[in-house]
Amino acid sequence: MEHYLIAMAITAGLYALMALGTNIIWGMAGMVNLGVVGFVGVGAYVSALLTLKLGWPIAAGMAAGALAAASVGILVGLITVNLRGDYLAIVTLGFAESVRIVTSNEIWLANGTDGLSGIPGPWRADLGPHNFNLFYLGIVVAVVAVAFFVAERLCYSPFGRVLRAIRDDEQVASVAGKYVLAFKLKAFAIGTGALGLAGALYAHFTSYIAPDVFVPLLTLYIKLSLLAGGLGNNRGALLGAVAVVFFLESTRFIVPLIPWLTHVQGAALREILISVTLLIILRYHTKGLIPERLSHPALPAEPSPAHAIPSRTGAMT
Amino acid sequence: MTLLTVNGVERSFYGVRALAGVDLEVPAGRITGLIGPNGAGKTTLFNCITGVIPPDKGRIVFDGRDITGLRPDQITQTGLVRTFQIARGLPRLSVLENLLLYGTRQPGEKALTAAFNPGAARQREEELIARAVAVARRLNLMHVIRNPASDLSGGQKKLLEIGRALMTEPKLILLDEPVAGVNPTLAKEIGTHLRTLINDGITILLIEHHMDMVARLCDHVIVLAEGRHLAEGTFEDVASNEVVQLAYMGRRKVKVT
Ligand SMILES: Nc1ncnc2c1ncn2[C@@H]1O[C@H](COP(=O)(O)OP(=O)(O)OP(=O)(O)O)[C@@H](O)[C@H]1O
Ligand SMILES: [Mg+2]
Repeated sequence: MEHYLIAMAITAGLYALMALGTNIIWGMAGMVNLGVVGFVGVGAYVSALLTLKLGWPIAAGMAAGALAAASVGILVGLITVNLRGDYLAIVTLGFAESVRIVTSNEIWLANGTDGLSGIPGPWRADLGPHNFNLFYLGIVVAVVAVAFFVAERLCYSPFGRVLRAIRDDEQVASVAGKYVLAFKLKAFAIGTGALGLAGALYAHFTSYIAPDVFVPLLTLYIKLSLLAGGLGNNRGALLGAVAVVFFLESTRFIVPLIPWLTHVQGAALREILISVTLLIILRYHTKGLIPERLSHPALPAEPSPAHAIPSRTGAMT
Repeated sequence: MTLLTVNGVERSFYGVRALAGVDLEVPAGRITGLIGPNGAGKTTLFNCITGVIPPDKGRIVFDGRDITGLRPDQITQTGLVRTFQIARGLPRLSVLENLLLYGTRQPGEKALTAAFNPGAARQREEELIARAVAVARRLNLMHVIRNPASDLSGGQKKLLEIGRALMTEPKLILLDEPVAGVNPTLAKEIGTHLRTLINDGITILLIEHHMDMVARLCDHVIVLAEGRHLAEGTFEDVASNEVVQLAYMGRRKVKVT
């Protein structure tokens, strides 16, 4: 049981990392990315292949996985630069599916639907299963903490301000003097980099990945985490991710206790419960459990008496 | 000295010729009025000048530099900024953030600086905040500076449009009906304020339908009608021009039956 709980905590941590990354793309910059799982897959496969086939150190593999996902993110961003809303969603969804199909079919590279096994984990053999899980949990918690810290800084920085402006009105952001495309691509790169890192962390934890691990349902769970937790808010992303994993797992135990349900019905009931819970949360908290807050840069305590607006020719050079 | 030159600018939308070859010049250090009936193409001209909508044809030179085909952000960075006729405050940003967004040279807009070296952005942020507060105070927005822009009244949103433009340290501001919907007292105040901007060395091109405001403020008036430059001169010249009167009243004389 303890083993199981630790594994669940790691899963929650990975969901949290994915939610934080997606929040930068969707919550801050307002771009719908239904390809979450595709970037997770890229990170997982790149890191697994580099460590398995080329003998790279695990940390280097993970970094490469994150970078690969970020690069693919920039590429997808460039392709979809003029797409908005639904269209962006469709293309990113298609991207995620193509990752799955490529890994299923390119058997020489990714071993097809059989997947890759024996992916190394840091000191897995030395630590033994129990200590390895604890150790890995520590790594995941540290990574999530750093990611959260960086995401918080970005969110309330001038950079985050531009992203939120783009989300509200791209044209205004452009007239404000910001190169919208560059900001969008940066948001995409940072967010998908985090997704790739989550994928790599997953691969080295479970030691086994296969194309059917990276199904669109995972994307939906991440979206759900953000919607329930509070889109645009990093705390909300963490809370939502933990809540979703807790809910997914607890229903796994509760549903079988209900009599007269077949296995299939039980699985369906879990999905229904999840949807209903989301609806209830959104009914009473339309902006999620922890709504996005406006960031208020501190105003100078002593209001400056000067009414004059410094002109271009003035002191501001 | 001419600050902005527009040369043969054309733009059509699905066969509607919004701009049919506009030529005009905006002299530096003055308030130039741009008037014309609804649908004359005034806003479209602003869109073409600022790169928001690319012109089909023509050339735009600002401050000695050809800016035709540049992106809106590049044009703003050359010192030419515009406001929107229908106020477009960023709803989920506070008034202060709306102002700060238009601030220039903020190193914290680089992701790496923002994440790992926020200290580098702090000093500039403080300068920008001081500037934003000064702007907000001038425009009577100080008491709502922490509110989301979506909660502003219609008139306050128009004021925020002007305020944001001022944040970019512009040489030329294109104002698209800045006081439409603003109460007369404040509109008058804004008018006075626009005059002080001229003293600060800023040039203004102003679209306005309130003729009293145009008469009071503008040194020079350009009339646009049906996508063409129709006439220009002092307000008195233009107002007494028969062609202009016709353009405003409609081409044919309406027979009362
Ligand atoms: N984005 C657009 N798409 C299609 N048609 C447009 C677009 N923008 C302007 N038009 C058309 O171009 C013509 C000129 O419009 P414009 O907004 O420039 O007029 P205006 O002089 O600003 O009028 P008003 O005084 O009413 O603001 C109109 O016929 C309008 O319908
Ligand atoms: Mg107009």
